[in-house]
Amino acid sequence: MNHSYAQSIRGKLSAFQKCQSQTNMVWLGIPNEDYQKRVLLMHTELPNNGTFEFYVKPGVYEVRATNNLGCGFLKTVTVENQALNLSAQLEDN
Amino acid sequence: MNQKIIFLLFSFFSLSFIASAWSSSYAHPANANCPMGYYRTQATAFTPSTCMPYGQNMNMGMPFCYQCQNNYWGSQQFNPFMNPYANPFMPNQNLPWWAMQGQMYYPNMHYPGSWHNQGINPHPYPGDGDMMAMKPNIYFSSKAPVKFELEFTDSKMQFLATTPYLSDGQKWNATVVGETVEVDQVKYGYLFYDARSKLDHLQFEAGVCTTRKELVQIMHADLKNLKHTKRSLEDFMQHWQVKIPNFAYYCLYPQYNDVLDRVFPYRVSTSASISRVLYVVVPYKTLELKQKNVFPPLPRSDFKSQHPTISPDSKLMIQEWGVAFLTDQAIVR
Repeated sequence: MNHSYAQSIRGKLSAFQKCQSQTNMVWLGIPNEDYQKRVLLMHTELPNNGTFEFYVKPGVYEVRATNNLGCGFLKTVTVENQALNLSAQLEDN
Repeated sequence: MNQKIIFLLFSFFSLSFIASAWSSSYAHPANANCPMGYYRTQATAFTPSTCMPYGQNMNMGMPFCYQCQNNYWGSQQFNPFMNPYANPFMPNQNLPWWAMQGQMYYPNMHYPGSWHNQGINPHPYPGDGDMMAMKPNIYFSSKAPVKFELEFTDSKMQFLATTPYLSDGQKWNATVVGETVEVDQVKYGYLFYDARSKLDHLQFEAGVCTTRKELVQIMHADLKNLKHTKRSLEDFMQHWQVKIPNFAYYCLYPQYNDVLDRVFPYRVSTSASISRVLYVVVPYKTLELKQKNVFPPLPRSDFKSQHPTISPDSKLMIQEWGVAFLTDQAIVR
């Protein structure tokens, strides 16, 4: 979706079989190797195959997904002047 | 005599139990709970330790080690120095599963978002306006399945997040069955959005000032009066006990339907009973305000008279709650 005030990161969450859960969290943060300098902007809880959209300024973000089974996903993305589509797949680690 | 022996035995076992709980929580063997090929490391004494692959150091970034991090926080449940949720006499059973994970990744986990002084730091967020509605959740319930469309009617509305994503025209096409809402063949417990707005239309006259602990309880009790479902009440408690920063006092300014229908208006395509509330909360270090021209002013009247009317016989019940914070730059003390 096009918005004049923001770009967006639009995604769908899925999981390999042993990671499938109805309670997953997707986190949007500003990445930094130093834990103290990392910033959590927003997070949203959703079921397996659920979708989400974060509205953001152009910049670099990290999208994490975790669930109550201990599975995870992490991707650093760069948002420029168009919406970004993301497929977040939870994996056992 | 027997009473004395029983008392001594009871004291001995009680003290042993407490001592073992504390000592086991401090036990932190190297590489505990790390997968094969990982070692445990910690950047500083005040940051959580984590599992890193051998040959990689902390400066190279966090590894994918969710399971070991979960195990680690679980093992620290009694340790107040390592685990912010720790309570040695009553391990937290009611905290949501994501609270400890979030703490592992982000130092501002206990804030609703990026934070500065006494409010939201607006700079990382798009749009303008000094009110950030963080996590309005919309719950649905119906006795029979109901198909409907929920459309946000302000084309200039400044969303920050939604789950699920909106289709073109800023709407969700959904079906409610019981207390579950289905969008694109996926069943959700609720629909969710975060949004930003200017302060126009908000009311800062009715409300209450209280301590942080009582703040969550007051909002919870208000939702109960508004007949929110058990799930909605539980979600509210779980989320906001974690995400409201630890200030001594808060003033609470509830915004009900009459305000929200102007700030974040939406239309539902079928007849429904809609109850909306957004709790604007503002932290205070002290309630003795020295200046005259403060913003927001302290509340001057009770808020309960502003409750929306609920029609319990409606075929579709919609109940929305959210908590909003002001940006630091909007607060004048």
